[in-house]
Formats: sequence, C-alpha cells, structure tokens
Amino acid sequence: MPETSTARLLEVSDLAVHLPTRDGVVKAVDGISYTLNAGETLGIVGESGSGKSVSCLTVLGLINRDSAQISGRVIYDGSDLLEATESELRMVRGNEISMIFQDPFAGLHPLFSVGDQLVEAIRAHEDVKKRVARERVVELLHEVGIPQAAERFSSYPHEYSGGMQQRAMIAMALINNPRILIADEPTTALDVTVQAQILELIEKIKEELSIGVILVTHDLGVVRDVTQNVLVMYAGRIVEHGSTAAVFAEPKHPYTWGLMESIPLLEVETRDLRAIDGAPPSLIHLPTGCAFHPRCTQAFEGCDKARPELDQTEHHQAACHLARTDRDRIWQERRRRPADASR
Amino acid sequence: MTSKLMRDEPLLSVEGLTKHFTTSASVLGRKGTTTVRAVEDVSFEVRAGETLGLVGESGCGKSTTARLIVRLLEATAGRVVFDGIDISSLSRRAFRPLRRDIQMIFQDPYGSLNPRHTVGQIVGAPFAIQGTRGDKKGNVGELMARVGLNPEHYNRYPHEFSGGQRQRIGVARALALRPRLVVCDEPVSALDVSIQAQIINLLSELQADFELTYLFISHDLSVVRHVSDRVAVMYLGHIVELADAADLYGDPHHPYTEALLSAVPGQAHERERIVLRGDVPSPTDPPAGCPFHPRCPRAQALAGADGAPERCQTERPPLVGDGVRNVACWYPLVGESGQAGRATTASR
Repeated sequence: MPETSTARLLEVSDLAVHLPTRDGVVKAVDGISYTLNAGETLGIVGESGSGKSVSCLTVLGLINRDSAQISGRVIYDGSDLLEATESELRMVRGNEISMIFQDPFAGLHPLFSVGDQLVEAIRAHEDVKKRVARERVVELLHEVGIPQAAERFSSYPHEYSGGMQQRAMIAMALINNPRILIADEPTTALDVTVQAQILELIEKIKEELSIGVILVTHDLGVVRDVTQNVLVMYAGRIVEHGSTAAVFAEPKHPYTWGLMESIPLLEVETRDLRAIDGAPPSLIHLPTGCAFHPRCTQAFEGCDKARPELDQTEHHQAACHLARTDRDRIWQERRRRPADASR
Repeated sequence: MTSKLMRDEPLLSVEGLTKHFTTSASVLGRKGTTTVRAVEDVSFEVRAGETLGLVGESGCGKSTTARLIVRLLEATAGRVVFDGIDISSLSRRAFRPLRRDIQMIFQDPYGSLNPRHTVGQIVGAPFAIQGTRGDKKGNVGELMARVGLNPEHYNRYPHEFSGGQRQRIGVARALALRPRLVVCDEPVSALDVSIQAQIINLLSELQADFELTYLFISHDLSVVRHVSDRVAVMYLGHIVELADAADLYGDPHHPYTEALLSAVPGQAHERERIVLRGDVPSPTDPPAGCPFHPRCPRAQALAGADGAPERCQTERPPLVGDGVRNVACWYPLVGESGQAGRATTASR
C-alpha cells in the first residue's frame, strides 16, 4: 500500500480466521494484510460472507479464540493484539480502538437511558465522579449532533430515531478518545438522507481527532465518497487493494469490474446491468485456485489451479492471473461499451 | 424497462388513497388513541406496460400504498381502480377472480416462502388456489426454467437455495397466473449487489415477455431510476413529486427530491450535497401545512421573521402539474428560483 510518513496505527499481516463447524472448516478470512494510518479512512468492501466483518471483529479480539483458529499478526502500538490477554484487550477496546455496528438499537440497553449508559462507559474506563461524567456525556451528545442534549440525556433508546441512536453509538465509541474507529456498515440500516448526516459526522470526527477509520460496507458509493484507500474482499481474501481514486478510475480485478458494472448509477439513464453470474461460493468448499474463477468472465486455463496473490510490487494491487496489461486493455474495452448486453 | 405495448391509458388508477392506523395510546389501556397517518390522499396512475417507481425513505408510506393496492390492507378512504373496476369497494369474494391479475413480489425472499413447502408446491399453489386445470408440474417446471431455476429442483425446499434463487422463486410464484400488474415491494433490497443486478435484469426481461406493468417500490434511488419510466417520490404519506424518470432525476422540482438525490453516495459528478437537518417527523403528529416544511432548505431560504413562509406552515400544497411533471410545493425549484434554495444549503 501507498507508504506515507504519517503515523501507522495498525498493521494487519496474513490474518486468517478459520471457524470449525460440524460441516467443515469455514475459511471466513484467509490471509489478509493491510495497514491503517492516522487520519486515513480505509474502506473494506465486499458482499455478505466475504469476511469483511469477521476480519474487523478479530482485530478487536471479539472472535472467541477457543472456537476459532486465528493466525497472523495484528500489530497495534508495537504489540500483537492476537497475543494479548483478555484484560489487555479490554483496555484496548474502547480506549484505543472502538467499533460501531450496523444496528445501533442492538448496541444500546433498552432499559437504561442513553445518558446513563454513556456515563457507565466512561466510569468503566476512568475513575471520575458521576457528575463530571454526566457533563462530559452531555457535551459529547451535543458534539455528535443530538439536539437538546441535556434533555435527551434521560431519554431511552426507543425514544431516539435510528439516526440519533447511531449518533449515540458514535458518542459511546468516542468516549475515551480512541485512535481507531471501526465502523461496520454504520449506515446500512439508515435512510439515505440520514446516512448522509452520519457519514458527514464520521468524516468530521476523523478530521478533528485525527484518528484512523476502518469503514466496512457493501456500498461502493459510500466507499467512493468517504474513503482514501479501499480493500475489495471476496471469499475471505483481498482481491484488490489501492487508493480509492485509483480503484474507481482503473479497477484491476474482474470481480471489482463486476461489482461496478452491476450497480445502477444515478447519473446514467439507461444501461444494461451486467450481473455477475452465479453466487458467492461456500466458504467450506472454496473453489480451487482463484475463488472467483467459476464466476469470472475472464477465467482461463490455470485459474482453477494456483491461487493468485496480490502483486506486491505495485501500490494498486490485484490478485489475478491475467497479465496486468491484458487486464488494463479488457477494462478499457468494457468501459467503452457500457451498454453491451453481455449477461 | 418498458414493454412494447406501452399505452397511455391507465391500467391502475389510485384516487385519494388514504390509510390511517389507529392504535391504543398506552400499553396500560388508558383512554385515548393515536392515529398513524401512513398514507394521505395519494393519487396516481400506472399506465399499461410501464414501470412506475415509488421511492421514499422508511415510514413514508410506500409499502402501505403497495399493500392497499393488492388489498392486503383495507383503505380508510379513496379508490383503487384496476382496468376500469373499482377494486377497493369489491367484496373479498368478488375481488378474488381479479387477484390473479394483480400479484406482488416481496422484499424478503426468506420470510415470504413457506419453509415447509417445496418449490414445486410454492410455485404451484396459485394454480391450485385459482382452480387452474392442466399439467401443473409441467407449468411449474416451465416457469422455473423461465426465471432461471433448474426445474429438476422441483422437490427442494427454500433453505436449499441462495438468496437470489429464493427471490427467483418469489418471482415465479407471482408470475404463475400471468398477472397484468406486478407490485414489487423492495424486490432487491435484501440481496447482495452482484445478485441484485441478476434480479433486475430478470424482471426487465419478464416485463417484455409477459407484457407486464410494474409498480416498483424501493428506497434505492439508483435502482428506481434504472427500472422506472416514471417516478413518484413520497414523503410522510404524501406524493411530493411525480414525473418522468429522466426529468425528475435531472431537474427535480421539489426541494425534498433535490435533497434526496444529492444524498445518494458515490456520484461521479458531484451535485452539491444538501444534508437535511433533523429527522422525518412522526406520522402520528405530522406538521401542519406542507409536511416537509420544518426540514425544507427552500422554506428556510425564503424564511422571514416568523420562520418558513406562512403558506408552507398552514396550507398543504396539492400535487399539481400538467400530467407530465407534477409537484406538491408552494415554491417549487423551477428555473433560476431553484438556486435560492441551493445557495444557502450546507454543502460538503
């Protein structure tokens, strides 16, 4: 990935998460590496089952190590989080790395007021008086854009709208000034106008606090708008990795092409959508070779044999057996005939 | 997606459709009720062979409208006229023969299929219920093949299929009786993007083959634009704008439509982003006047000392237009006047 001199916050290398089940081993994440810098928003994009959420949960130590085979390294602040004890992890979670989820309501206890839950979160990590904590919470609620924060302090989660619940979850994530915020589909459950508000808020927080943000989403539009770098995941592997601008301008993996060609665009009036044939593979019985080859329009002999690795020499990497020049040519051709009905 | 036979006369005409849900205000059963005004005085037409998109955010009443049309719900007021017959006043018995003409595809391909029935039973059920004679298994197999399912999977259960395949089963069931109108309620929202395109393309092919008319409901503005000939935008139970898709997306006249379009992420040619403040008001207590006025950037731009223009606060704007472009706004964004609303709004 593009090397920058800014502070490197997180370094994930060769992370694999295999989950044994009765039917076989689910290779949820199968060897991924990336880095996150301060002030960077990194998008992780993929469809359901691509491993994007599991990889983030593993970083936070939220995947039970007794029931999963986890390998690789997750270096934060000079130490490997995969080696950390549960109590060390507890200090990292919330204090150093926070996470927000798709469904904010599920993250809030329905029987306590939102304010009390935030006070509790402060006092879990810090020995302060309730009154002091309360003042901080009101200030924080105000900062994340909850109107009449002082009155809203005593409201219960169900009295908040979906957008406000997500704001409260963001407030909770920010309580102890984390350096990394992991947002797992933070706007998927929200309406488009509220989504715009929440993305704007995350952007503002990132700028003001100079933290690193990992944004997990299936929505390419969101990735394009708010991230600087992006990982495209398929069947537990990274298939493409690069700066967001480069990936959107010149995508290099046939799966990324497929994703981009299968979403309708607001600006384009009529265009046949080129669907990706078939369905994502079972993570227990992955196809041999490149996991995408059964659905790939460009697959040739050999794709079903060896598994392609990311071309490490480049900033903008893809894991594909096709020669780079061929891929560039094919993408240019595909882009020139957008209305081709090749489905 | 327009079929060859698109004509101008409406196949479906909705007039003043209204649905209020009344609920007890307190779980303790104290006196008083609240009324959720889900759909308020909604009128539109769907022409034979076209796709009318119905778009809006959650709680705007789009799904309730769909359910009123297929009579899964009974309307509080208003009429639903299908092919010249007022179906909202028909008895259930009298309506039954018409049901085969009006079918629905649901969002959730998991929840809308009986897990204990085989695909053959699910897709074949409409034949049995409507008493259609003939080679049921043959008909079902043909239908399965047409929607891209393997007819040999006749005896499999829904859980043996992926999400996209399950939605194909839902499509096959809806098409079994050769309906004329299909109400699609968020048919691709639960699917992964690569699968969404498969289903959208399938619906488009089927529309041409079977001369179908679609009412296509979705919160996804890009999908709606892709499939629709005309689009209606709903807000808080009302239609605020109704126009040809290209006109509505290219040059929105209602400030809400404009804000909604600007909020869609990932646009290459960035529109100025209008981030609306606040949340959608509760439909139990909708604002007086224009339902959008408390959040409306245009009303704020025109505001005087008393806040938004008085008319916006007191009088509900009717949906007016020439039949092609229709907008419900006292100060629509037309020509240069639209700039006034844009200039003062927050941009990213």
